[in-house]
Amino acid sequence: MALLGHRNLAIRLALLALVAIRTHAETPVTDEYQVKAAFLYNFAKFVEWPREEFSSSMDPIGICVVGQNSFGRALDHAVSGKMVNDRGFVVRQIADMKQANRCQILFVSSSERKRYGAILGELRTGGVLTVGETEAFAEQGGMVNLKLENGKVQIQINLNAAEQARVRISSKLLSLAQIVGKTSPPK
Amino acid sequence: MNLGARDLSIRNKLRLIIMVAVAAALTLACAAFLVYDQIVLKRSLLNNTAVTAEMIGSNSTGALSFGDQKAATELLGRLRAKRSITAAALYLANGQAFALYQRDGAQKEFVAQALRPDGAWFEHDRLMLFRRIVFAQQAIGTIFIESDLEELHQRLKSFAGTAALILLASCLLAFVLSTGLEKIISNPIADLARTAQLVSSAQELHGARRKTGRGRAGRIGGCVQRNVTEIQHRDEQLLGTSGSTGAASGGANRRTGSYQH
Repeated sequence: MALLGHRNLAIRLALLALVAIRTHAETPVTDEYQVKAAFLYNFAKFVEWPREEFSSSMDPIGICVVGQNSFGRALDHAVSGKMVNDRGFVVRQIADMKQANRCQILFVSSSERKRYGAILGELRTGGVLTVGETEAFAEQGGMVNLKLENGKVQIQINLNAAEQARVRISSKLLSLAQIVGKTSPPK
Repeated sequence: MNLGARDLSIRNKLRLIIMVAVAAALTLACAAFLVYDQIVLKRSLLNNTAVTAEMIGSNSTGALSFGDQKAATELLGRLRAKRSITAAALYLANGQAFALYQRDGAQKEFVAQALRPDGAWFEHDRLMLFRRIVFAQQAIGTIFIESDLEELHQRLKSFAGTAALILLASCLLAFVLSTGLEKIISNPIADLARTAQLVSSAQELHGARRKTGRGRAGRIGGCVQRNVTEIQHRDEQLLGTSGSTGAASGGANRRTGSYQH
């Protein structure tokens, strides 16, 4: 009986420790996505899209997430009540790239790394700012990569991809980013 | 001092008057220019600092938006080119100091001030300026700039030196010119004084000096006074000897009256 009691206690402690470890492990993930959510909102201030991307001057800026959504409510909180150039924000979770035509910023989750080619291929000239979070994203034709380095989110930008998609990125943002891929001289 | 000036010759009195007038007018003019220059320079310093704050603030929007402290610090480091700026700081929208800059060779370590509303003021020989950074219609932070007034002090010293030189040169010029020009006034007076001396006796002249000073003007005044006394004395004698000769007496009185005026 006493042995059973001890075993029960040990199992409970182990479970408790597991929960504690899992919670601890999740905390930085939450912080990371809060920062990434704030970055996605701020990108809207430093990027210019082709006019035809919006049907009217009041059209909101669509921030879409494709793949596993690790933001929770962070992205909604980051853009809630915010306006950039008199435009509000709409956050969407999309599964199909056909829905991406209403997005100005598309966050491609790391869960989609095997589909990068297909996703980015469809958006190559579509006027959508693609944002990823893995090392290979910008090299494979993504425009912005949010790379976690020494606990900080670093920005990598593929200027060539942005030019192809007619998305203009401010020099203020470029000055903070690491430029990847080949860049063409300004016209 | 007054006694000393009274005893000067007319020539020297004229020189003194011209020199004092020139010096006083120039001192006033220089003081007015100096005050005006300092006001203009302060305003210019204020404007320049505000423009610098605007530029740095505008360029820091990226660093503030994406929380890039290194980029913000590097940006503030560009203020090294402006020697008058002693310290600067960038604050986040929540008022937290984000990046600091301090001019090389500062004696005390710069500590970010508590955030204040937009404004600029002079305090402890420094110009302080707070300016909000607005981007995409949103206040994303604040910039603080502290500037010394060394430029103002240097200008003040330089201006004071120049003003002193101008004053000295002007006084010398006034002295040289007055030496030549005072003769227009002093020569006729000198002639008059000589004539008056001839009329008066040498003995009376000697006795009357004490009241009007020893200068040329004093001598003339003394002579005139004694001439009048002499005429009055003669008139009295005439009145005493012949009471019927009113015409002669009246004439003398009129003459006396005209002298007394």
